[in-house]
Amino acid sequence: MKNHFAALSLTGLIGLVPHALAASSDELTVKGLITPLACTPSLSNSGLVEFGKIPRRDLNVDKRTRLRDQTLDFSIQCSAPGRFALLMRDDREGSAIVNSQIYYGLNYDGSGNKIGLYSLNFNPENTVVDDLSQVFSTDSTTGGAAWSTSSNRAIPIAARSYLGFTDRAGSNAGPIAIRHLTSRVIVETVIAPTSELDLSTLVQLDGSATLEIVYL
Amino acid sequence: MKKYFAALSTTALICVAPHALAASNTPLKVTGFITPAACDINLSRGGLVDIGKKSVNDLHPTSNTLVDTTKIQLTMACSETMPFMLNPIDHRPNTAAGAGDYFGVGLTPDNEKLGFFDIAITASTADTTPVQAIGSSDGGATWAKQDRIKLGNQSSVAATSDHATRIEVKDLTMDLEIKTYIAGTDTLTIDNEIPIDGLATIEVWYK
Repeated sequence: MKNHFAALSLTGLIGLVPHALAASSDELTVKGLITPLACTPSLSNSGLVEFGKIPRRDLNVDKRTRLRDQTLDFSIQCSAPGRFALLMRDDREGSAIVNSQIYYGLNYDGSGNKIGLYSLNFNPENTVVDDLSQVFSTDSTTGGAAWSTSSNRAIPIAARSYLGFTDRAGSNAGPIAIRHLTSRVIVETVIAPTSELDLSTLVQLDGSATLEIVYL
Repeated sequence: MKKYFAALSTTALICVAPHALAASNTPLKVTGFITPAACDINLSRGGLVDIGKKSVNDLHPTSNTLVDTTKIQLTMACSETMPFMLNPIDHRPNTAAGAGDYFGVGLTPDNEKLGFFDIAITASTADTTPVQAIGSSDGGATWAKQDRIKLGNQSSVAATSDHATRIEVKDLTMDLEIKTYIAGTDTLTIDNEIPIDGLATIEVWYK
């Protein structure tokens, strides 16, 4: 996706800011690929996890409270087998009560306190890829340059690390080409101690993120 | 510079390939709100069904035997009118003999499924008005007539005229009938006394 962006930016750059380009004596190389591959991810219930009303008395005062886990069906349908990875962008970045790229924010209460966090967890054991008998996950913190040893343990999706899938256990070769993937993902949600929230007005959980395909 | 590129490229991308952009990602939203409101839920008889001792002689050799029917009333009292659903949890999971939406009563020492119990809803009243019991198998998205509390489904209530539309409730009573069955004795090894050991929780979801 990043490469995709870069390739398209060339025309815009020349057209809109010729002076900036002319003033630079450095060489400018713009590389990338346009791929005919199209993969469509989708989540059941339109990706909506709705907790409804959460009674204050069910929440811990002095420590965090984990709400019940929620599962969503997840699928990716590609126009042809292709190598891709997943990541998830947080539209409420900075509002998670733990600062980590696997935790996503639920926004702020009326006084600007962080309400909580959630994570989205993939389990290779619950994942079916094409006609493979087993699926293993692998991730890359280097934008796809190097990949972790693939395994069948559950892994939370991250904002910057790529998450990919392979048919090989213990492999560092990265994701294989996949056409169809289906899985059940688990959303784990945690609310801040109520002593750290302003409950004098309505506190609304308002998490919003975007799950993205990165074409490799 | 990188940001500059990204900003410019978005425009180009939208012009060139709007469908690709729309299709390669999907949203996830987590919503809800924290409220001072809450409901208290209570089962009559302390929620206990005591079947006593049943002889193997009184059990059917090849099919399930109904060994007990006990009426229990469920009451729910909320601090304000709330949307709700009742979610059952089986603490003896995967021990129910027969259909998957019954509740287990444990295993024999030889790991055979001893039997199961079923929770029927025989009458429901919401805020003094008779209502009908409904159930959802998709977490509350759609509702249909369902006069049982089924494992894997959620239960709620609707007006008697419309089983598809859940109503909000402040005070609820539900008359329940707990029927306990023991599996055909040809599937069981009964050399010693075997406890009937069912345990389930009914929790309120406020949505």
